[in-house]
Amino acid sequence: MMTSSARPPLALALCAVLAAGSLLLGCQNYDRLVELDTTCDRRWADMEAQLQRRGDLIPNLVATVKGSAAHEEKTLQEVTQARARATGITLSTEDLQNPEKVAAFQKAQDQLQGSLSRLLVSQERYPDLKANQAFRDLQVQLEGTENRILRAREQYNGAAADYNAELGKISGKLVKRVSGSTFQPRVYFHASAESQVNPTVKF
Amino acid sequence: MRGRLGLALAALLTSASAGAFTPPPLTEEVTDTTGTLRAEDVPELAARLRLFRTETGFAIVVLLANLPEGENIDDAAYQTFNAWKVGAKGEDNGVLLMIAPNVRKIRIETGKGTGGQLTDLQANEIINRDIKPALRANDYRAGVLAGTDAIAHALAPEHPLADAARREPPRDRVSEVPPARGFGQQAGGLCCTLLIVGIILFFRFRSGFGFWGGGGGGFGGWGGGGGFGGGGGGGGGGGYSGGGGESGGGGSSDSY
Repeated sequence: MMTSSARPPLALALCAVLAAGSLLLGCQNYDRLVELDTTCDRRWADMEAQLQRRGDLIPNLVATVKGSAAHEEKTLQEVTQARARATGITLSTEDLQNPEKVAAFQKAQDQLQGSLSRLLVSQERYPDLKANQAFRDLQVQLEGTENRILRAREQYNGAAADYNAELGKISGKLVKRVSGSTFQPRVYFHASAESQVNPTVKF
Repeated sequence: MRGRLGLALAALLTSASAGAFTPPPLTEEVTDTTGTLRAEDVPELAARLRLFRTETGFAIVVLLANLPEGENIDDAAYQTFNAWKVGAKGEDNGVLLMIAPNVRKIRIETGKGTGGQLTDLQANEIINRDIKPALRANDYRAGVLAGTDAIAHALAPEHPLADAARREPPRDRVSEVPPARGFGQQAGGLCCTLLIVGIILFFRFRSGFGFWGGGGGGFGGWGGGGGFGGGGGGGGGGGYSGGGGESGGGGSSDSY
């Protein structure tokens, strides 16, 4: 008598505990996704800062080269135009989930990097430029910035991979469905063929 | 499906940047896996850096290691920096000086938090001005000493260790015309210099006594090799092994 009347509440309690448990797990999973998403944003901001720095160094470089290497008019123009194109494209968080936008952004940055390395290689023909301290300083800074961009890209890809993996899990998919479609997989950045070869210059 | 693809991609991406170089275990501030430095130089150089870290919080570590064929010193230094987590977590105030004697390459890898004090340009200048000449003369001890002193000077100019790097003014300031000085000012400057030298000598002597003299006892505790990695290990709050420092790829490299 006692046991049969006690059973339904017990089952109910069990159900409640299960529901609470899964809700808690769901919340935890949601929190985890938010956390990973934030890390991605932070890494992306780092990368943007480095790209920005490269963009900032270029006008100085162009001005310095112009003084000693007048024959490089065409290369200089290319760099200036590539810079304008590259800085003209910015990506928001939503854009980072859009493969086409990421590809366009990356193409512009790759072109900038390509024209920049051509400019840096052209210095071999200008002894004046090679001996110019301001030029050498800019070159060191650009090399450093290229390396930082490379690391920032690796770190962003790593963060995006963590996030995408979490999102790909069953629990992640569930959270995504329940919370609407706020969570979307992020697109990776790939090293361009040109950027594989660093513009190393010997003094 | 997407997730798995992501994982595979991530694996690909990390393996592409990993290469064949594996950072050696971190034992103390100066690690030489090549036997280029004399055995007695290593603890001496390490003690200086440990003193600097406990007093200023900045972690400077040195690695001499040979690079496998085709490995890039930029990648190797970056990997080592992040494996060792040089510097304190959140502050990322560590600097790694790496020398690869077999390929004659130098790299200074800076933590994210040192970008203001030690720029890529300054790192390059330290390599060219302080390290290269000594390494070309095959004096690795002098190269490491001058290099770490110059790094210390950039990070904490007021610290005694940094004073050694004051022999020569940094290049970017040479071009500036110094203001004209009267005799009185010159004499004043001389007195000042003498005073500073006196202070340096005092600190040198003191630190030398305390650290090099007592060094034997301190190192005994590290004999096991693994005892160091506990994180935040040597006082002063400046984390070191496992300190949590991170590099964003800053710094500079060159060959000699």
